[in-house]
Amino acid sequence: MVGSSLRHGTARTSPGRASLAAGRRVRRLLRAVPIAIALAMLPEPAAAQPAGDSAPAMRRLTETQYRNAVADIFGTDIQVAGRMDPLVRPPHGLQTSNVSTIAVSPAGFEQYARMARAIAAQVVDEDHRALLVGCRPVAEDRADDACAGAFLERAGRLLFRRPLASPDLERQVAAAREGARLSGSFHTGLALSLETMLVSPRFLFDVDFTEPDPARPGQVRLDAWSKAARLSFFLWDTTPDTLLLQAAARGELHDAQGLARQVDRLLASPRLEASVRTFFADMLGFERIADLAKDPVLYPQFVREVKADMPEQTLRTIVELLVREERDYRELFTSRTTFMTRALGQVYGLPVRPGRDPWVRYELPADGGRAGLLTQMSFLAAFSHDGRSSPTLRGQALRELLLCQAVPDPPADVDFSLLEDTENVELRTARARLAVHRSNPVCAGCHRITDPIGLTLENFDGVGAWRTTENGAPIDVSGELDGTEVSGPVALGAAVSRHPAVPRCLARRVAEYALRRSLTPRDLPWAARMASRFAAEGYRLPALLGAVATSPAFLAAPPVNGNRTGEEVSR
Amino acid sequence: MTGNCTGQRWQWRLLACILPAVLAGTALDGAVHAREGRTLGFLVVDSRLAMHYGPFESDCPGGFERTVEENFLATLGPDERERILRPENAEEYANAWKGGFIDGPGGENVCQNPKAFLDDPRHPPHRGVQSRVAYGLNLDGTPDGRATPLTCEHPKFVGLDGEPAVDNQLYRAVGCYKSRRGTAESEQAGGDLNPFLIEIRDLDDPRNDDRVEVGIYSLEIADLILRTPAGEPLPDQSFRVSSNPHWRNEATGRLVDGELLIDDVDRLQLRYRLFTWGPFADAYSQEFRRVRLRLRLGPDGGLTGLLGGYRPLMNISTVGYCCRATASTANMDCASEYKTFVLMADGDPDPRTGQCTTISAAHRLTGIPAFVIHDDGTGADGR
Repeated sequence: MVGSSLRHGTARTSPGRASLAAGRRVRRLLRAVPIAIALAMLPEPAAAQPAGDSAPAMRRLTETQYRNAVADIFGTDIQVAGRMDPLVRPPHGLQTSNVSTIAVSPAGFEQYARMARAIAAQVVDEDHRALLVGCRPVAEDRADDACAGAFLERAGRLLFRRPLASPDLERQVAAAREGARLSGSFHTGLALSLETMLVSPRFLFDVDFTEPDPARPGQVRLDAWSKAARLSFFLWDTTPDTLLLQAAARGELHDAQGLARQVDRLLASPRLEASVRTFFADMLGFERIADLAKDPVLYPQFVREVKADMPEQTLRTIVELLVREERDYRELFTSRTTFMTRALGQVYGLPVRPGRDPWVRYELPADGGRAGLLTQMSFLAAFSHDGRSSPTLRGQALRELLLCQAVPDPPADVDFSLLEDTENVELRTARARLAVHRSNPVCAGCHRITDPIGLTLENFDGVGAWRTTENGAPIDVSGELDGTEVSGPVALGAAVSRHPAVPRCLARRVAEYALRRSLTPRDLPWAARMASRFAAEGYRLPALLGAVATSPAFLAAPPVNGNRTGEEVSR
Repeated sequence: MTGNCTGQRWQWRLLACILPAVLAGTALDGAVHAREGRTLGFLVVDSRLAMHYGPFESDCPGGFERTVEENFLATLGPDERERILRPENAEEYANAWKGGFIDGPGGENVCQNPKAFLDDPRHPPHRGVQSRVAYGLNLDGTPDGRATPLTCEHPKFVGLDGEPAVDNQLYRAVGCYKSRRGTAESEQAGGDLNPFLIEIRDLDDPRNDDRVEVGIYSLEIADLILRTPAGEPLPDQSFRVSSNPHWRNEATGRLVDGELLIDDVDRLQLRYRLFTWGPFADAYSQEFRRVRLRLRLGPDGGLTGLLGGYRPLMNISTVGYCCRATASTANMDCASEYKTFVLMADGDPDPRTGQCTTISAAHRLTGIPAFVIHDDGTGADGR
């Protein structure tokens, strides 16, 4: 197509080197145009301004959100091939909170550009154009502003999560027109324009826009579109759907009843599960599992299928108990209900009868030694070493992930050789080795707050398989959690379920996930209030999510000049 | 039979104490309901043809049996043999033995229809194993292999454990054949059964029990076997019993000093599947008649032992030897092998001709703990 348009312009030039060079120039131009246009595009919506100057006003879409958004807008058959800059977990926080501080690296932007080109090409290809473009151009070989405008207006509203202002739409139509002129193809031009939207910061970032708040003269509020995006990314982990955008257009999200209606709708949808999965995968540190390796000699049962199934088991359990059955959050640590595959069954030592679905809901045996998340492989294997269990890592994980307590890192010069010597004939169990290790006063302080927890899980080896002895010595599973004596993994789960910090920690993590940034000290009273609501609602997760989503602090505009907090807004 | 709630292993306590209560109550989705009494399950992962590797010169003093190519060369005189083996005649040579020699007058080939070559002297029978010691079980009950209503006269072996009169005519027939015996035990090829399940039910005492129920099943094809990176099957996997009733065999047995004895399997069929057979892969069974098993339960929860029985000749000569390539590529002379089977057959005489139609055989079994899952959701505890 490009070549054919060049031949029109250079009719007297013979085919060959000159036309090839011209073709390369056009292709370079076509590659450069989307980025140039995108960089020029962070325009102001008609009545809104980018908000705030101290708190984060832009949050990068996570990889999951990006993929979900593309699938929701264009369909699940549009392939998204590429990787994004990884998120970095801040100390004692959620990975998700990194989206408000992370930059896009040059390599990351190249990935966005490649993905955008590939997505746009698929949207306009012959398999999809009838459905997705929705109109036919007057002629395939030239621009059609009416058809391009209709498509770009629709796509832009979904991608940018707000209507395109007229100048923006005109700019997109002009890009499609110029692309069609250069390429001699309406659809190539249209893809070019779509590509510019896909690499625009307005798609790649969730940007807060504010508008004057009529209820509080002199103050601003998030505009309805920003509220819609905030709600959708929090509760569905994806871009707002048409109904939510329509509610935003009608101004319903500024009204408590209208907001509640939309929140109830979002909470009632099966799509809530996607966000709950993302949240718990983040909270429980599942990124560790992707890189998890075990000694194949010691743990031959830790095969690829098991590694793939172990986080899924936990996420299915969470969704089943907390979302579908709306059980008390604390039951996660005591319930014997879970999901199982044949692959997991061979590690758990349990029979599994699969149906058509390889995943089956499963009731663990009452005296099998397992109940709750702490006895699942996603916790036990993830917080162990390659060749041995680790009471310390397990205890640390429990404190940091589930109690929101910080455990200091070990000093740099600690000698771990004794702990790693699992064949020590004198010190045959982890308990014995740790007891000697704790005799070093430098180590003792931290180990005192981790090991008594982790030692109660010593019935599980480095992958989470059941055992009663270590190196031939019987395992003692007595321990303690913040003053409560505990013996064994089931008792630990019961103690955790009764620990007052557990639901408080969840409320705090949900608040962090909702805001997609680390909580500041000024956020903590609001998080504490959400914890109280959580308790009052019987520790039901959907109730907590609903309380956060309808909380004025969640939908508050970022502080202007640093003088206003979510807490202040919520008063 | 009631469970014992005082066992040391938690799995045992679970089975004995908890699951019976569950059985009386609600179903447990993907969980598996225990049967009454103790139940053990195994996946048989190694079922090699029981080849005894005695000194080669004793077992096979005449050397290996001839391949189909060697049988072809044996039909030639010295001059013609020297001529056709010259490099410049390689194509003619290949065409001769891979073409005409393995074909019969009706277009059949030696492996597709070995029966058609019974009178063809170019495919002579094997000499067979000459030594007297072999794996096996006494299948006909005689001390000397004399004819009975169910068997033909045949020589006996002495068992490896000293049992004086065991039957394993299949070993005698193929024990000197390269593609069966290989050159060492680790290289032994051919004769394996597909992995299958053994379930022992109603077990009171793993040392001595005068009656247990035993199921011998092929597994549901969708239940793939998980293996370590080194290729070893993993224990404690769950397998559904095949939905095909042909491949579900029931028996009874008894335990004597830790050895499980099973003597009443009149007919045993197990699925034999080769993926290269594509859509026909599930059409084949491996069949045994009047089966006996001697199995020892190991301290690791596994099982080892012998399966003996009579195999129909055509079942051996059909399963796995379907095609021309079995002769032209694998270099097997199926016609010679079948002729040997006919000569050495010792079971199930044809009432009209008196010719025996089955041959005694033995397989060495190794099983690992597994959960055997039935249609109704009952299953073994695997330990």
